[in-house]
This record gives sequence, C-alpha cells and structure tokens, in this order.
Amino acid sequence: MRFRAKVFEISSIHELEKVVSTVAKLVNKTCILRLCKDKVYFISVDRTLSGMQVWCCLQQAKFFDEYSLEGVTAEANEIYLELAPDNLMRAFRSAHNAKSIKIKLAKKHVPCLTVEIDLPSRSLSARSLVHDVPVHVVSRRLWKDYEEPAMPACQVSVELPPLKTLKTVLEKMKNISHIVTVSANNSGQLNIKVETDLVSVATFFRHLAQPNMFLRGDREPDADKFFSVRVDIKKLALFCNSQHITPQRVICNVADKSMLHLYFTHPCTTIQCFLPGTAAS
Amino acid sequence: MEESSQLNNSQEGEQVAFSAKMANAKNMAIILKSLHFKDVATFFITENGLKVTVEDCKCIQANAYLKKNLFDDFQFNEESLVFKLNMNILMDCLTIFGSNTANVGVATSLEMRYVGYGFPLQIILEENGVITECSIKTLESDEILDFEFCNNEVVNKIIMKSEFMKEAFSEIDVSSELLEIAMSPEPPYFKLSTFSSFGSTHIEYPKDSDMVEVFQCTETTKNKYRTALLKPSYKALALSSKVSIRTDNRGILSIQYMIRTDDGQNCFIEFFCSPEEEVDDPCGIGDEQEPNVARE
Repeated sequence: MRFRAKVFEISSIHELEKVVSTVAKLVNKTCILRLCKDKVYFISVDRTLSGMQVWCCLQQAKFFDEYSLEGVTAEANEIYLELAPDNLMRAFRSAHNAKSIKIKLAKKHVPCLTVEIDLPSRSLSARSLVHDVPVHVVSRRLWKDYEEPAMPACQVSVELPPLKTLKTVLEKMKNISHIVTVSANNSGQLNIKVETDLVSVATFFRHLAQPNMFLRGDREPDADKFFSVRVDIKKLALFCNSQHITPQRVICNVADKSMLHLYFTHPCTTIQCFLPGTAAS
Repeated sequence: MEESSQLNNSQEGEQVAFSAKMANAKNMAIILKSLHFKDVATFFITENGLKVTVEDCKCIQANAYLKKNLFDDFQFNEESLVFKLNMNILMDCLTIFGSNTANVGVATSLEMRYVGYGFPLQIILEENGVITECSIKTLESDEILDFEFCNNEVVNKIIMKSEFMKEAFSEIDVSSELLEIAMSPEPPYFKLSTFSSFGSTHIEYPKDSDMVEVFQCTETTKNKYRTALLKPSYKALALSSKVSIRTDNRGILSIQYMIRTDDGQNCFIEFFCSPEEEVDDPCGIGDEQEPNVARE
C-alpha cells in the first residue's frame, strides 16, 4: 500500500481546505477517506437510525498535480483510511499560503497521512511544516460497509432557497422541536414545519427551481401535491451550517415518508447527504 | 397535515376577534424582548391597543403598551380580551427570520390574528417573499397584580433623558443585593446607594442638569429595592429615550420608559417594583395596603 500526492496550485489547496472543512462539519468526529485511481471519497461512518450519511466525491485529477496510488492489491486498487477530518482540515489550513503540499501515507508510531507543507521563505533555506494525521487502515473485508448509499426513489426535487434564510429559521425552530417536517411539491414549493402541543411554526418557500436530474419515471401529475419526510432538525441545521464551499446549487429531493436527500455540486466535488425520515415524535 | 397556508383556508370576511398588522416586526420584537424575563406573559387587548404584562415574585411587574397607532392596521371586535402566552415561543416566532438587523432595508412584516377565546394566536411574518406562519396556543390568564399605583398619591417624580439614567445605573455596584433610591426637594436631590460587606457607595445627581426635564419632589423619600428585580428593566432603559421615575406614598416605584420606534412612534414600558420592607419596621407600614409584597 502506497500513496503519494502533490498539489502545487494554491487555488487547489484552498479548495481542498474548503471541502475538508465542510466534511468535518457534517460528520461526527471521524470519517472514511477512500482513495481510488481517479476519485477520492469522504464517507461518513454514522450508522445510527437517525444518522445522516455523507458521501463526498472528488475528481482527483482536478486537485492533485501528482497522484500515485498502490492499493491493497492489484484488483482492489484502493485504500480506505479512517481519520478525523478536523485533523486534516487543520493541516490544510496551515497550508493556506503554501507553495506546495505533499501528502503521503506513512508509518510513524502509528499509520499516518503525512502532510508536508512547503512555505514561502525569505531566506535561502526552505521553510516547511509537517502535519501527521493519524489514520486507521480499514481492512478490505469491511469495505462493503462503506458503499455509496442507494439513491432513494424521490417524488419531488427542488433547489433549496438561500441557505442563510433556511439556517436562521431552523435555528429558531430547533428551540421548539427536534423533529422538522420537510415537504415539497412539483410546483416549486418547499415547506418546513415544526409542531408541538403548544405551537406550530411553518415556513413557506415559493418559486423554487426544479431540476430534472433526480427524478426517474413520470413526474407526479398533480403538481400541487406535497411529499414530506420528518427528519432530525439538528442534522438539517448542521447541513445548512456546514457549507464552506459556496455551492452552485443545493438540490433537495424528497422520498415521501422515507428520506431527505441533499445534493450539491461544485466544479469538481459532489456532496450528498442522506437524512432518513424518522417516525418518532 | 395542512400544507397550505392557514390564511388561505379561512373564509373571506370571517369575523375574528382581533387582527393587527405591522410593517416592521422588529418594533414589536424589540419591545417584547425587554419584557422577556419570565416564561409567561399576559396579553390584554382593547380597542386602544395591546398591553403585555410580565410579573415576578409578586414584587415586580412590567407592562408594555403597544397603542393601536403603532400598528398599520388594528381591528378589534370585542370588549376586551385576555390570554396568556409562552414568551419563549413567542420570541422565537417573532424573530424567526433572525433577530439582528444585518439586512438593512429588508423589513419583516408582521400580522397577528386571534379568532377568539380558545383559539391560538396566529402570527404571520414575511420577509423577501418567504412566509412563516405560527400558531401559538393561548392559555387562561391568572389574576395579575394591581399595584394600585395611584397617580394622585405620587410623592416624588423625576423625568429625565435616558442617558442620564443609563450613566447612573452603570455606576452602581451590581453585586449589591439592594439599591436604595433617595429623592428629595432638598439636596441631595437624587441619590442612588448600594451596600455590601465592604461598605456602601452613594452616587448623587444634580437636579439642575439639562438632562432632567421634570423634577417634582414633595418630600424626602428613601426606599430600597432588590437589584435582582430591577435588572430586567435595564433592557428597556437601553432602548428608551426618556425615563420617568416616580414613587408613591407606599414607596412603590414606577419607572416608565419612552421608546421611539423606527417609524417615529412612541410606546411605553412601565415597571412597578415593591420596596423591600425594613426588617426593624415595628409598625409594618404598608402591610395592609399591599398584601402581595414579598418578605425576605
């Protein structure tokens, strides 16, 4: 198993920093970094019932100027590492003004992803900084636990309104209930609602764009019919708070009563969050 | 579960007991925020406007008067209405689009509707085309205190610019349990004192300052009040432009704050506070008149 990569473009270093920051906010302490020939994935490990699953995919060639991978075996030419994205984020943050960074898998006291940062220096000698991010190598027999979650059959797909508004509203709604009902229809309408014995609060967003990419089969003929799912409000608020990348679009897909699928894409990265519907009140 | 707006479901011209509109919800949110020191508030609605009351310990009462001219529309079809609401929920609803004014020029509009007794209070807010509808359950109101602060029995009264009072209150020792307010037609005219195990501090204020607009003191009075009870009034003080301090013949303190809203309207918040009884007061003066005054 070997992995070495280099980044010379400062803009790519910044992009990597933003992606890892976003992932760090979305996952609960650790995640899986899956290294493949063409792609790099960040995968969440939260398997709890109400847990949000995160699947982030980067096209390696768009970030790294040099990339060399020797996986576990020739057929299974991939490496799965469990790490704390916070640690990796700190390493990239130190590289904010770097001339270049070099990342490699190394065995120090424990297996590490070593990030060597080459910083600009006024003197003749180079200035460098090294971060050792501890990793745990995930054995091959466990790889099947980290497959891409199945895309649920969604009845409706809308582009989310500005996350800032959604975030503010969710923060207040969090004080009222820990479950929020998200509903959308094919007329570009999205509602979020919390309800208890004492109060109900619902926010209505209108005139949202409706992308086609996720709907399979025929669209529901009644454009006004709403499809809803009840999800953990903290997780949804977390999603809205985590966006360090300025996403071009965030698409929200509702699988009636079963799942909320959030998808956003940035030139070379896609992040998907799968929020299961909860029956508990 | 209803998805569409509740407003759309109600019939046109349906008679509701009360409805009101305000172009800028912030005005109401800020005023009610200074009353948010307890979980519950009592709402009184009359044809003149809204009064919101919050009480604590049976010693302090805060009232916010939102006259009908503060609203862009005010419809009231009953004699009078009273209900209680959970303040925490109300404040979350009023500030659903955020409590700061980061977006200058973006106003959140507010509409309130109350169908009648037994129905929830509906609050509808709109900002930038996004609408939030809240439906808050109303509760039976309890008796609220009547401090019987009689305007005829006012012993001492001072009306001043708020900066004057803000300065005064910023200098007092906040760790002191009691604040003594002394007012007199003779010097020292207006004195604030605090007491601690290290000693006492006294701050005296002139009556001739142009910060003082009205000074009508008929006799020398000294009354002590619990600083913990007065603390909630500081938020109202911070918002206000003018303040009136009055005490009556029982030592009950009435502080009235005049607040100017963004659109130039005035509204008032008033605090009543009972004085702390002197422990060595043999006559127990004031016992008969205010059975609600708390004892240490």
